[in-house]
Amino acid sequence: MRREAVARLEPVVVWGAPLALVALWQLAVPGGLLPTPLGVLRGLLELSADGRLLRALLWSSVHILSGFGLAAAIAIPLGALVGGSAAAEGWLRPLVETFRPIAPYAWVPMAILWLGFGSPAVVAIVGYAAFFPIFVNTAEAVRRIPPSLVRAARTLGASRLMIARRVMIPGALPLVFVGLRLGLGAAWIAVIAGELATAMSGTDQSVWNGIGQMMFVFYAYSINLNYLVVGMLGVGAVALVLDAGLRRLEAAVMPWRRPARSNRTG
Amino acid sequence: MARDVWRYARTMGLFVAVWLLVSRWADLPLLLPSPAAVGREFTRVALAGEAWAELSVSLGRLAIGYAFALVLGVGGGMLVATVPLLRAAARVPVEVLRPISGIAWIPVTLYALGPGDGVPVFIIFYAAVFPILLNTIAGVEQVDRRLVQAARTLGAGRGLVLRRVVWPAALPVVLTGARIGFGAGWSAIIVAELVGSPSGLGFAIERARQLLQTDAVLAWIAYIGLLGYLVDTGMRWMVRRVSWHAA
Repeated sequence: MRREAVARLEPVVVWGAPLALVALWQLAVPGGLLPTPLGVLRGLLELSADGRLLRALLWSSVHILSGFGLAAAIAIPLGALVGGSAAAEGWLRPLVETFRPIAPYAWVPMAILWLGFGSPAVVAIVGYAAFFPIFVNTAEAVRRIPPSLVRAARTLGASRLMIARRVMIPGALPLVFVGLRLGLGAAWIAVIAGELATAMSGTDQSVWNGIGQMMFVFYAYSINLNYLVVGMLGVGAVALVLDAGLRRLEAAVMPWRRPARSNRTG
Repeated sequence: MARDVWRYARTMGLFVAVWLLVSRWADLPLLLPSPAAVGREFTRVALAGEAWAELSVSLGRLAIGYAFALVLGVGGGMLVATVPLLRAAARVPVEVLRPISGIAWIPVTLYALGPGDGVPVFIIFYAAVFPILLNTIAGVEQVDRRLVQAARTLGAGRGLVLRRVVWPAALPVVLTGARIGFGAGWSAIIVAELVGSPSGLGFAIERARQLLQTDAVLAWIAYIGLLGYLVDTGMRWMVRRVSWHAA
């Protein structure tokens, strides 16, 4: 097609095509249990009205932030240690590399055995999932600080503390943030998986707080597929919000960097 | 190489020693079985052929789901990247679906397909297809226009340009996507099987937990780790081989 025609059609297609798909979905699905766009919309309003959606979103956010915070608190110092000291790396690396290939969800049964069916188990899984990307990238970040910069600062008479604060930390920050971004992504997936898995493994409903658990309720107990889809969309929305939040933080902490392009590789 | 082996042995040796001491002192086989118990269970499962049975089920699903993801991801990606209107049409659906992790689809898929093979295969497919798709599109978009124009000047038709210019130039990025997608699919399979299927590695762990056989739980975890390591190494080897050809 001619380029001008394409350019003019493009905005129409960007929104028209998805809308057409949604309309098709609405028309193609017979009534009853299957989810429809209108049903999902109604579900969204109902769940928002009685606050269940908000509550679940908040709880999942608490799960993810606690797990992520815990992981960062351990992974960053450890990663810095390993990046800076070859001896530390020699000792710690086999341990980390042994556990890294074990998918976080494989630990769900263990977490349930140790911590029960509720939030602590979920936070543990999230922490485990977030730990490795943060650790690996922090170690790499510290390793990559050019020694020449450190030496230059020393030549100019900087104290060790000053070198750490003014040379090493800013030098390592970009890659650390890459690790944080990856860790947050992993954490979000782990939160849903953890909540779903703990809900599916147990029956004590009183500790079911997060979105994953809520979704399980709508799958197994009060079956409502429209609500399920609302949950899924909620999952997506929160993922975007968290990622945007981290990018804000990144821009605030490293004002000298131009904003990175969005993470298109998912 | 020998130094790496030594380093590995001393760290893991220390780890197992500490584990042994703590498990003896705590004496809670339900929560912390001794390394010996886990090792025994690990060997038993291997010898009884159970390990292989569950492993092959999981691997089979991984293969099918990933194959679908490759075909649809690469094929769809190339299509979308080369037809401008398609790219416009695909943009919103992809951006909406992308943040919804494959895990979130489990309840809906479970409802639609019931427990069995379908759920893990679909989840693997879903988890793997996005990185592959997005990286394929990115790979095609970053191909140097001048290469394409040069080929056209020499008289190449669209098909030839796609096959001999665009594809090899995009390949490294596409391969990265394939690797990421594989990792995503691999992670997804465990949880999909944990909750959605009466067979496979994920299921084996959950069953052991329900029977309160903690030593078996840890043994299966070890298997998952081992498999993950092998799979990751295999992937990296394959990428290196293909990149060699393409470079």
